[in-house]
Amino acid sequence: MKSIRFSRRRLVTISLAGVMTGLLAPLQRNARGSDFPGYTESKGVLVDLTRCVGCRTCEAACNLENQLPAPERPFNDMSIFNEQSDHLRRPDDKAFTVVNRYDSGSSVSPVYRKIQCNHCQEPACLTSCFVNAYTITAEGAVLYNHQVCVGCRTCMIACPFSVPAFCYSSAFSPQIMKCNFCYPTRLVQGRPPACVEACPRDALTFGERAELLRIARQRIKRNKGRYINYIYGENEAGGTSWLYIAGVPFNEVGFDEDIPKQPIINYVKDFLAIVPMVLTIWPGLFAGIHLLVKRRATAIDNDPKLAESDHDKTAA
Amino acid sequence: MNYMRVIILFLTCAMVNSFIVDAVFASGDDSIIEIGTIATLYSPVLFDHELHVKYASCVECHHHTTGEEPSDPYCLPCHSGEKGIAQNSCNECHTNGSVDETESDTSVVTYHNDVPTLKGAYHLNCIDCHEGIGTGPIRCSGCHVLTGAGEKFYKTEKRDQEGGESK
Repeated sequence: MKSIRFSRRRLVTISLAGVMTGLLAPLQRNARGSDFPGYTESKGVLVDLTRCVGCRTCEAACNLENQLPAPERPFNDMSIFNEQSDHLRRPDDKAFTVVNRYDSGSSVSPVYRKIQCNHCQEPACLTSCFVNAYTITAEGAVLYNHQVCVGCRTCMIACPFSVPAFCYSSAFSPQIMKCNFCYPTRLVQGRPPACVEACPRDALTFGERAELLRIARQRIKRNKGRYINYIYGENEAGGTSWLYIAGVPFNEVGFDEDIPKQPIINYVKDFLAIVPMVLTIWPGLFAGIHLLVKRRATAIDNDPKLAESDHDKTAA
Repeated sequence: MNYMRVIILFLTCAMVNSFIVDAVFASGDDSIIEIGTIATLYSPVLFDHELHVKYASCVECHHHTTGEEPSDPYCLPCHSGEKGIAQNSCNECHTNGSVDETESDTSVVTYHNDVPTLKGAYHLNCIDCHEGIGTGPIRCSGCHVLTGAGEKFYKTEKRDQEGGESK
């Protein structure tokens, strides 16, 4: 009898300790994650939409640098912009970046916008990947490793910018394709990405992210009336390495203005922290309680005197 | 594989090196200037300086270096009433770096921290002005002639068959 009581008390104590550990451990992790302001030396690219004339040289440079398959039509074929009324082009497994034309209501002349991975500071693709196929470098490049990827495509759903593309055409070695910031060939040596270097109008400016933010503010301030007073990417999804300034409202040129200003992981972090606790502690805890209750009931059934003596002790 | 690598390396080097523009005065001071930029992708641009003098005042391209008052009010506090300087060709100030960080955090006055690259300065100034006055080429092929390497770069092999429009 005594041994049963001792076991129960001890079990409850251990269980409670386990529950408290499970609750407190993720809280400490939370504090660390949200306090991280990003690497100080983090690089970025400032995209000035008022400078882009849609020459598509960045697309050609990207294609060459990453040895991507040849496009269906040449990169200096501008008629491609006339056929986008039905659907705008987007990066896919054959092109890490595409330029689209927008006929904005606020601008007489069309506005061109380059799309590629924005290289978030706290990437949703990275946090959603359960095999750690994504890594982020100190330079801010978000890289994908096809060797560990299992092809679940969660990153495609997690990305708030819908950037990762799946190589459906490959039956045996399908993988995610997306801009890698030219990290392996250029960024690692401190050189700007191929698209930036190719841009003839300096619509793309490479530098340290903090410096680019200063330059963006300066351009907005110096050129009154040329820009909307907003830097897209400064805070979107917790901040991105690629930043944008434009002369028209961002929602008129295809930017999603509803993207939250905090990292996507923040929305699921609290829930995800509970999952290990539920999966590991709850089964043991409740199974133990169930067995104890059942064992006591069985013992009482087998020996009615036990129930009486137990009742007496409680009364005393 | 190696062949592709050599081509890529060559094109990359050529693109970087081609920013170094040598403005050659072909025949007389104010006549045709050959801008030998991006020699691999495009053949040199023949710039008619004399023609442009009729359309634009010096400051619109040379800023404060010719002795005229700068048109940009932002430049006036320092560069007002200056005499012209001898080195007033574009590549004296517009270099190849992406962001000029000579005046960054440590500098109190950060006026020259966003100077366009040489290639950027040409294309920004030329195209914006041409668009503004409604004349002059605003598309690539208006000034440039693609070279063989340029056709490879832009993957124009199929262009003739499909009849795509070239910019």
